[in-house]
Amino acid sequence: MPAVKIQVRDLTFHYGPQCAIQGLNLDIYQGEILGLMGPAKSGKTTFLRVLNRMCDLVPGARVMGSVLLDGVEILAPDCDVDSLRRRVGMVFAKPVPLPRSIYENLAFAPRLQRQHQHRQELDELVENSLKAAQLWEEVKDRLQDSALKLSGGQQQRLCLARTLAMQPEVILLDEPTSGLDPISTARIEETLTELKKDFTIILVSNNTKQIARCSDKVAFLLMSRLVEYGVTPEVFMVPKQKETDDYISGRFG
Amino acid sequence: MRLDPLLTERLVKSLLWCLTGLTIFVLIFIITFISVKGLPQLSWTFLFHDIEDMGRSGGILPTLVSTLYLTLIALVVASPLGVGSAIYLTEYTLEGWVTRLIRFGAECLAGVPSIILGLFGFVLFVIKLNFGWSMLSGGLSLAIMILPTIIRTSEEALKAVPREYQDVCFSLGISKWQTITRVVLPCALPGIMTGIVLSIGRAIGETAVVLFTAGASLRTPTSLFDSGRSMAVHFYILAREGLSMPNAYGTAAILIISILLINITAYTLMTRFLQKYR
Repeated sequence: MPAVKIQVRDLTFHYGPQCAIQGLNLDIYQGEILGLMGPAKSGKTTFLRVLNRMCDLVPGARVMGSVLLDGVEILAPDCDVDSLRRRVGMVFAKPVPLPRSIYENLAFAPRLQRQHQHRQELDELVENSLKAAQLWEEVKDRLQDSALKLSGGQQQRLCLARTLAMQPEVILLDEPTSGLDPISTARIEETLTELKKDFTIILVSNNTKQIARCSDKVAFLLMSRLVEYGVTPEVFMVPKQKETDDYISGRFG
Repeated sequence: MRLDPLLTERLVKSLLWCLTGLTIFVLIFIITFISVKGLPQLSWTFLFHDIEDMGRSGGILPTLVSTLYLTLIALVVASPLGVGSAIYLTEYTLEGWVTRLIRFGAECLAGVPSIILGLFGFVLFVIKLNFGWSMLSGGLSLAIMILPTIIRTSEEALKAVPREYQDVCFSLGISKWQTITRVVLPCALPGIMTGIVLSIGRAIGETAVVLFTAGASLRTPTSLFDSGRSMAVHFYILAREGLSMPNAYGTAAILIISILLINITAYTLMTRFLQKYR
């Protein structure tokens, strides 16, 4: 049995008067991919944003309950948010490369953290991260080119590589393949299966097939509530709840 | 009855063309007029000699130095204040009545007639703070004058930076201040620079404020507390007192040429900078 990496207890989240997550309890295990599925507005993205405290940036946000990362409360007011975000990396639905070179996109954050002062160390980190995100072969000869010139699929892998370069423990992926063609999608999925040896991954996707292919455990959210949670093949073969069955088989508005 | 859409299109197009043409014409007219009258006056003596006989002969070196002094002081004071306020307004506070009040205040400041600002500068800096008619008083008053422009343009430039860049930086564990200095400001710099260049133009050409606060001494200022006349004031006095119209136009030509030069240099530098960053 792998260790529990993140423990979520009675998590409730409001944007102003609107409730986005209600009474969520969930354990996320080390070295696994948790797939998170549900229709639009079901609270998937909000949940990800709570885990790295990006939710703080929304005015009027109120969060209650407890989220423990390695047993330490991350919702506490005295939690160092910047170092939390270095441990819990995030890849957004829309790839956003910074207006800098490919190399700089990756080296930017590690350099600011002053852990990688030496040029050689930084070069290695960039190379390893790009290899892990399966982008290295395509860009190794033009690391100094602008990252904005890359194609959509390459940009998304660059963003993944950028997150990996921070050497996080948990990676949050918010529909990482929503704007990509099938080939790029396949490459990203391949990458994820490789990566789960070293990281804990939470994958949000609207594509239920993708969740079925990639994830070890799956959680189904509906109307701000957790409806079903279980081992992926079981949930997809014999869902316990009717709503889950309807959603998976596409009988759902 | 309705006009044929094709005909309307043509009419509108030619009308708009005329309006644009008229604007350009006025600009070209002013520049040619000043050049024709002023350029023949230009010579080394005119540029690099002291003012003699109240401006009837000699050069305009002291006014060049004063203008440089005043503009530099105004920029050094107003740029950090303006850009800082803009950063505060866009990044560090939520939109609400405080920001609206600050913005309203800045807009009012922009609408104050320069002669009133001059009077204010005179009362505050020249009399109350006892700086006298000096480069310092003049520079500070000009800084107040250009501050709203810098705040406004910087704010617009900062707002135009995609919000996603900040989300990405925060998600990478980069602190807010690092995000602003390393990512947001470089992206907003062209817009901020445009505002500053615009302000330089206004500060160089300003007459009323300078006349009230920096005086009109003919000597070359050597310290912050020396009085001196800027090019615009020199032009004003030469023309108003009927001392020497040719020299007045010569000064005007230099004034326009320097503003043009500053614009061209600033935009060239900016293009270079952008190429480096994109």
